Amino acid sequence: MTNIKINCLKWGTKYDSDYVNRTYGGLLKHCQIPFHFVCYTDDSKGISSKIEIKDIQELRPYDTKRVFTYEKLFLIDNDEYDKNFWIDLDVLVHEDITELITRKHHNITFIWNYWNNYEEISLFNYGRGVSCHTNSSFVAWDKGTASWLLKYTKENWEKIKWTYKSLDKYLFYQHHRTGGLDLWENGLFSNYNKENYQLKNKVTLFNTSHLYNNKGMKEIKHYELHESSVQELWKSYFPGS
Amino acid sequence: MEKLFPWVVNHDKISILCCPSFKFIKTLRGLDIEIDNINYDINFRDMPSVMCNDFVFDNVKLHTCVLHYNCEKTYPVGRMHQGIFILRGDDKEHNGDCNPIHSIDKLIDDNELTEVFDSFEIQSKNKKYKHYCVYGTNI
Repeated sequence: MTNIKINCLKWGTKYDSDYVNRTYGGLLKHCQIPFHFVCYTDDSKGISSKIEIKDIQELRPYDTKRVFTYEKLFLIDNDEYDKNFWIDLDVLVHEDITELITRKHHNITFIWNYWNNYEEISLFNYGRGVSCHTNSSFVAWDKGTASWLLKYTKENWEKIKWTYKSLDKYLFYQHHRTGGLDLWENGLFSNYNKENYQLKNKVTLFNTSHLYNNKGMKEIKHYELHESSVQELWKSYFPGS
Repeated sequence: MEKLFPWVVNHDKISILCCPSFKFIKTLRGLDIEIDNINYDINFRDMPSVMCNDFVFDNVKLHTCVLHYNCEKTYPVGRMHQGIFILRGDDKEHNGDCNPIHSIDKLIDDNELTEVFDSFEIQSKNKKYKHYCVYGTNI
């Protein structure tokens, strides 16, 4: 039997334990096979006892504020199961994803921002260094298939740290450019704040970190899950104590 | 950036990094200087006159003399290459700038230059930011 591990990370105060518990609850509801759920955190208070807690420091070999969420890469080659995932806490699973969880991954697989126009936004601005069309909010890899990415990151860390503010930007500029990443196909993910504040496809992102990591972002209103029009659905996901 | 020309003309071969100004490149080629125009911008992938590579992360061979046109956007070339450098950077602090350049000394320190031949700073036309330029070596 295939064993499956899904990881999440929580640190600081932006998201509380409800976000962890409801992420797990959403996965329980929409994944029809058993899996193990782990939360790496600096504060386990309020997190369901059904979730394994680990210290976020295990994923932090580097003391830096650069390459925001680089910690996720240190889930690779780290007590891997047959099938491995990480999911961000600002992600709402709202349709059955069993097939996404069970399918074979020959390489680590990231989200492509289908909701943004690639040519007009990412390609046009590429030389200015502000593009980012990959997203690491829901990532899958089978055991051993992502080792190359962790190895490259460790070997080039000094240059990566100097160059990139965020993990997604690093992945886009270095690994999508060279064809290294697999991408989920269109029709699986959507972006609530970029797609008319509605749930589409199977999984919806509510990511807002780009607003804080860049200055002068003149964007539309971005809602977090707990303040969105789908907050009641989100609140209905609960794994029990 | 005509002020760079007196430095440039001292060299027969130059690797130019991150320069989006084709006018600048064309002018240098007109001076009979052999130019490798290296740019990470994938929009230039199909242009035969551009080597579309990221000099920081790809395996790129550089000439002894390197002109970096936008030092604020990359890891310092002087930490990866030994040679003579013509370095230009600005303090605009654009979102895409990983390393804003606020002084000539920063360019010197970042690139570990051991000797500086010349330098200057110049205000942008809109007076909102400055360009800093250094000519030196780490050999």
